Amino acid sequence: MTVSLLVACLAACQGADESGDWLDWARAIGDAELSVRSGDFQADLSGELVLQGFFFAPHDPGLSMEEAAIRAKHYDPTRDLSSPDLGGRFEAVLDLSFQDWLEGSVDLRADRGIASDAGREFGARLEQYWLRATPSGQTVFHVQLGKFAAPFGNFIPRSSSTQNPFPTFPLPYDHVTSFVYASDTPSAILARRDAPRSKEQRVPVWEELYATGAMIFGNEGSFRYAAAVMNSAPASWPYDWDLRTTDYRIPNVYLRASMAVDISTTLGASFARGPYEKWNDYWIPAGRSATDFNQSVWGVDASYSAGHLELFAEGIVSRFQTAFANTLELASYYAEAKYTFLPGFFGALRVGQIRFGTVRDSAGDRVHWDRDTTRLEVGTGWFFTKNLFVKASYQTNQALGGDLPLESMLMMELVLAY
Amino acid sequence: MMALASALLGLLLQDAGNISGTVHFPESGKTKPRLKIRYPDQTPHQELKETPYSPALLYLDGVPPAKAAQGVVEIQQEGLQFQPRAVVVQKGMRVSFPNLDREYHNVFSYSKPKRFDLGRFPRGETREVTFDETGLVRVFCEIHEHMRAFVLVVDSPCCAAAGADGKFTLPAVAPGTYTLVAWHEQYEPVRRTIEVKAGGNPVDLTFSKAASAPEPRERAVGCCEQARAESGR
Repeated sequence: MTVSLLVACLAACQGADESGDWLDWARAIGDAELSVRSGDFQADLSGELVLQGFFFAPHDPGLSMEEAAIRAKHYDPTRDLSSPDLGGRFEAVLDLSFQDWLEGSVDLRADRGIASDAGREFGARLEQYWLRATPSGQTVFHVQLGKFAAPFGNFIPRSSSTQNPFPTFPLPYDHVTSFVYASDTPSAILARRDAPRSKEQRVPVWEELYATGAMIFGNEGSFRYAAAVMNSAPASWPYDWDLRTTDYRIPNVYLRASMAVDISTTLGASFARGPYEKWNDYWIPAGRSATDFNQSVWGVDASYSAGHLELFAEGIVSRFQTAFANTLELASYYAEAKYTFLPGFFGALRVGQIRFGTVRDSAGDRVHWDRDTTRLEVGTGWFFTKNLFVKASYQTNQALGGDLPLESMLMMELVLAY
Repeated sequence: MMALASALLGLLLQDAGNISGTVHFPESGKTKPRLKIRYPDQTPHQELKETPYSPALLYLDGVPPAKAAQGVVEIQQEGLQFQPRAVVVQKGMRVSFPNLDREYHNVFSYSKPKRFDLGRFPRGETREVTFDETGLVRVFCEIHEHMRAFVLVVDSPCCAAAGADGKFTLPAVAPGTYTLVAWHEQYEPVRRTIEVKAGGNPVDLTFSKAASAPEPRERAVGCCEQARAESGR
């Protein structure tokens, strides 16, 4: 039944495309080259419009649903979520270049997340703004300054709507943990384990992670490298990413290296270390500061592709130093497969798990500081044209222990790029 | 029988006229396509070549195809570019896409006349696509967003690509009245009714209305002469 419905939908899409002038407007938008050149200067404008629909069980809320609201600083933990709901995003990227050695980019985003109680769910911001110099004119060495994606892992470089086969992010990038502040006590952390609404967006690695800082990167043959000093840790909150909140007295360090073993296979390793809170000294013991407590993250990743098959996998280990709960550890991974069955039609499968270390509870016993969780996700997508496509995914999250039910979410996303 | 047919064809072509001429382009603002590296993992493993010249494509409408078209036209992937950037082929012909780069390419199109996705294939390998519907097919690489090419599929055996100097020559056709169509990615197509005389006649065409923007440089090869060359191998 499901397969028949899918085939019928595909046939309808295919027929409409071939007969159809109704998609010519999208092709015209995709063909438009929004570029101007004056002497050695050039500016190119591009971007996308994304519409999202969410259908989820009462206990869900994955971080992906709250992303827009929290980034716009309108996050309200007392919000009432209702299903279904709509979200969306508009993005405009202005790329600038001068001769062949200087580039820059400004990325403006406006989005609407799941509605908060107060209805303040819409926000706009400059997600990225950076300058990059390539002194040698070769790809072996670039230096970049500004606000940009931190060099970590192999998901962030393919997190765009076009490249990510799912509308959602892998588990290590959007799983909200029960740990919130450096000053959390073990009892506070444990109390949040089965209370999703009391959690405060502390994830192992924050989705695309647009922090402010400086980076060098490049490649030599099949080897790529990147090193950066930035103002935020992988788990820092988005409102710490801005230039205005920059504090370089104790910078966060990022290192990444990857090697193309052959044309189909790439292996990579990443490392990040630095304070995850720089301004919140409340309840921190006298004589110490929030910046005394670091997050350290080690990551390994692999990718393989051939023909119509693409495989990705990534594993991380994260350690949070805290004031009262010693060091909180977690390990997480995901593995993802995407296969293109027909031109423009693909299916994808993603499996992820997160395992938490232990803290001592009030009785002195060692217990896991959050619920170990397994996520299974299936997704599909159809490209009407190169720049107009729809994606859908169904996700389940199964927590081990506790009283949380199996969580599930259906998410659909329509994207128009220009 | 074959000899008789060949003799008849020879008699016909004695009176046939070549159509040659020049395509003129108005001045347009030229921009330089850039490889957009947004993340360190996107630095290319090889050098990016300049965008190839984008030729004007011409064909004669109203010439009945003598037989099912055969032959192969080649669009190479080299220096992270499609070369040539635009070709015109007769309906039923194939286009091959050899990868000459050290990186994967994934050639695809979601255009109305032809949807295809060749998957990722490495250096030294070639994929082919048969174009059996007329129309314009926009070709892209799924890995390298800046790469694009155009395949204009026509129902006419009389087609060619203009050179970098705008000059073109279409294969000989019998004298008569035809519609000459010129296409270029930057401009609206030009249609001109022409009278072909025995011995041939020159034609000048000028594009006027701009449609989009990339810049021309080198030369591409047209369908008829290239297909003949390929099928004659």
